[in-house]
Amino acid sequence: MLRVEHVSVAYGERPILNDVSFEVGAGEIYGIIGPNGAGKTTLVRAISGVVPLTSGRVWVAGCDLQALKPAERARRVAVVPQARNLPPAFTGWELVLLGRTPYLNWLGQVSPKDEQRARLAMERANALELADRRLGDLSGGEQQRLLLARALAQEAPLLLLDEPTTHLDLQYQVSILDTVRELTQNEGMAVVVVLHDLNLVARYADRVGLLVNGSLRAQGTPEEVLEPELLEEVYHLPLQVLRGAASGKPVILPANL
Amino acid sequence: MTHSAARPYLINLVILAITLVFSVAVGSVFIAPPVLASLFYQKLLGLPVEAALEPFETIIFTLRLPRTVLVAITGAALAGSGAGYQGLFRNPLADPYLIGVASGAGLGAIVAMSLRWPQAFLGLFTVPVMAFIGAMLTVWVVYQLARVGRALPTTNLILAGVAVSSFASALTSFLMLSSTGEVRRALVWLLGGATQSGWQPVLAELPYIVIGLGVLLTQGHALNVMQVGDEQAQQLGLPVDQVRFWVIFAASLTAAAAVSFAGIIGFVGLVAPHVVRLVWGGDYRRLLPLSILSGASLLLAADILARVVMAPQELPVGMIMALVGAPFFLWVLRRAKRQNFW
Repeated sequence: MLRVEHVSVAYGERPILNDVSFEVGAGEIYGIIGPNGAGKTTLVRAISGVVPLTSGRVWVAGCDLQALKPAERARRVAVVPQARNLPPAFTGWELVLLGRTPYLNWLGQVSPKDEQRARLAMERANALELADRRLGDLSGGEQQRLLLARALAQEAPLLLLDEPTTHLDLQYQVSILDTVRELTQNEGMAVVVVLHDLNLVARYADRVGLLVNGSLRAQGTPEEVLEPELLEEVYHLPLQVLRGAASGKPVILPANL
Repeated sequence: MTHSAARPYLINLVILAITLVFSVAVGSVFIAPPVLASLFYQKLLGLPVEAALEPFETIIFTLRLPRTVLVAITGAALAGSGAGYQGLFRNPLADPYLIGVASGAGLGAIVAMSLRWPQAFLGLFTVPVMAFIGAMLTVWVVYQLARVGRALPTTNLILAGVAVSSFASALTSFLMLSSTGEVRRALVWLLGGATQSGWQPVLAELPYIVIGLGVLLTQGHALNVMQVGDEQAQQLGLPVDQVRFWVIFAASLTAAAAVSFAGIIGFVGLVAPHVVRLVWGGDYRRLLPLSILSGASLLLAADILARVVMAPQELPVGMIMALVGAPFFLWVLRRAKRQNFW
């Protein structure tokens, strides 16, 4: 579904991403981790087409992303950004309708079909009851659900989530990612998710890429990547990796606990 | 369109109709609405006008009606333009003046008034044409100063607007002080006094405003998308640069036309969209048309006041707008801030 080929990005003279390559298949969740400043957000921006690549290619569903018009791109790649600086006067419904932008005509007219698709997206994201609420009155977790619904309204086969759980309480973190996992399993969406929390990555990602200084330092299953020596080297902190009692997934803790 | 969706439009149309009637009725001679009605009725059907109504005919059809229409379309233009800039810059304080359109238009007009030569070949509309050119040049200069590559960061745009606007205002003041004869006329124009009468300015202003507002009305959804920021707008598939160009073009065209034919009038472009936003919310598909309607009503109301406060002397409508509009705007802003509106 997504093929990132030797992608490099620079802001001016400063290189941010350096020769990054990976693939994500349909129905797969690919987690991206890495220390602050590693280029995680830039990678999301590169895959969503809002920063120019200095070299390399991004293929989505067989199309070269750079060659697509904005609307064509938005029908293939949908982004769930962090819930920040949203217009507080907007209602949840108005926000989700924005996801239909790549399907509207030049007058921007929203058809009954668009409204139906937007409503469906809200159902899939468990956000239907937020339709008439104003964004300024909602919690971060509720706003995040609406942003997920907005991305789903784009009906793109590839979903990018940029730290969707930062600033959220634990129950919201888990519920958002549970929803995303259901979507990949039931609908075959491909998902790239940037996460700070190594334990969330261990729990939800099928494969993990560890980004360090703009390069992929390692990639593979969570068990392969979330490995004490590697993590200690990257995060400069002694760590221990345990196994979850129920899932057998890795659980990462500081070593001196 | 459901009942509830149509209601804001109906309310605004009723208010506009009331202000239109009052604007025609009020003046040195008060003409009662029933008299107005029979006069319009006879005119529309092409009947001969009753002898008793004849004195009113000239007053209404050559003086008050053209002025009323001019004021209404000017108010509509300024409010639509303000709503457009506010949406594009995601800034509640953005209005036609922010990016220097008004100062540019003012400078163009003063140049026309102080230099004699352009009148030889541009004739009657030297001042408006020069004002329009000045406005568009200012927007272009501001745009060129503010842009970074193909992007146009909002902060840059506002800073460039303030700088260029101050520069244009200073040049305007210099030209006004150094010229002699036309200063009073220029001053009245700058304060937003309608110095021209009859249908000619109305017909000259109308095409710009119809085109400008028409383009703006197609950008409602695009401006909604812009509210989540440039990057998210791009990710949602909006051709951001294209939208920015069309909104700036249309908002500047309408504002320049309004300033050209009615002088510098502030606060309409700020107050009208704010009131609409407070009452009916921030959806630009609704905000743009409602702002246009309410802007017309607002400026008409100010113009009526301008004519009656010190009758028979008329005050410049821009002065009334500022006197009433500035405190009102502060009140709106306070209220909006408390309600976490922006």
